[in-house]
Amino acid sequence: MTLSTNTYLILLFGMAAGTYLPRMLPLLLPGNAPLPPWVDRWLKLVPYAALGALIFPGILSVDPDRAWVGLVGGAAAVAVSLKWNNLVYTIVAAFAVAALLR
Amino acid sequence: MAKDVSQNFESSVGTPTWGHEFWRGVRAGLPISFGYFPSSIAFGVVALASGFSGWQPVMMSMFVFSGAGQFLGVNLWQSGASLGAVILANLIINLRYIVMSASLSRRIQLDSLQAAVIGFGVTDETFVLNSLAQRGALTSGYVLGVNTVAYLGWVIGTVVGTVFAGILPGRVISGMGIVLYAMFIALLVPSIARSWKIGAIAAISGALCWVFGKVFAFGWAMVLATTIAAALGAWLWDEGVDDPEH
Repeated sequence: MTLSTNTYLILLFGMAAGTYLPRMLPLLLPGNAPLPPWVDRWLKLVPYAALGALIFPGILSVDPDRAWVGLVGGAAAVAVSLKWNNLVYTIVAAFAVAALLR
Repeated sequence: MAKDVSQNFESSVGTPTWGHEFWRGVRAGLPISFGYFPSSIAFGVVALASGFSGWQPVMMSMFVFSGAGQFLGVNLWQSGASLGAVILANLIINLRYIVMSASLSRRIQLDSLQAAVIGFGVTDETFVLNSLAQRGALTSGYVLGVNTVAYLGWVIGTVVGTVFAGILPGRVISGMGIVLYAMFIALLVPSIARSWKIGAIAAISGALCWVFGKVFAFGWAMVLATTIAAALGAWLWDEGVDDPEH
């Protein structure tokens, strides 16, 4: 179905607000506010947990038909990262391996 | 004389200018920008096929800037959901950002204007990069640089998708998705080398995300996996696993 301009603007504004507020409001928290130690530990671990959830299972869908392409590209990234600890090398290696496999 | 030079060098390293930090963030965020292309181009194509027209998909990418939310929104709209249902679903899928921004607020102190601008650019990818890419103090210039270049990738990709819908070689574009995963891996591997506990938390989170993903939409699966795995780590290891600030 097509959208009238007014309907579209309501949708746009509603989605923009529903995305912006959850992102922005917590940044207003005082960063040095005393929190229970376990909450502080939890918040510091969130980035690492988020990384895990972003990598897997998403990496399986790099090639929608062949899950192993993402896995092999990811393995190349792990190997290069372990050896050189360099972001650019890691990205180039993973991209090249995945490109060769398709 | 030599001492003076080294002191100048020290002070220029210790207090980089805002602009210098911004460009450092832009360079660090480039992989996110490229990594977004498959999704943002696909979003332009999908939105046009779902009844949106002209510049509507691009405006949505400019004002919403959320991959999961935008795909969910156009899919629901096309399937005949009401305006309220689409807006509510988008809000729910984006509630995961509360956890991320709360985590980021422990790393960097922002005034309300900075929070208003930087908050717009918090995505799964910029959050992870901003949280983990550097060990020292995090600056507002750096974060804004990362967020800005990621945003441009998202918007430009949507423009490309809407303008060239139908004539793009799909396989070439989807291959760019590996860039994001390689960046995530490059962030994770050195962290695991410092502490195996970080690896355990990431592995548990990935496994949980995979299991939850069979039942829930991506946003839910990710927020559940992230919340539970991080809480498990906080509960198991009260000494903390590794402090990114030191």
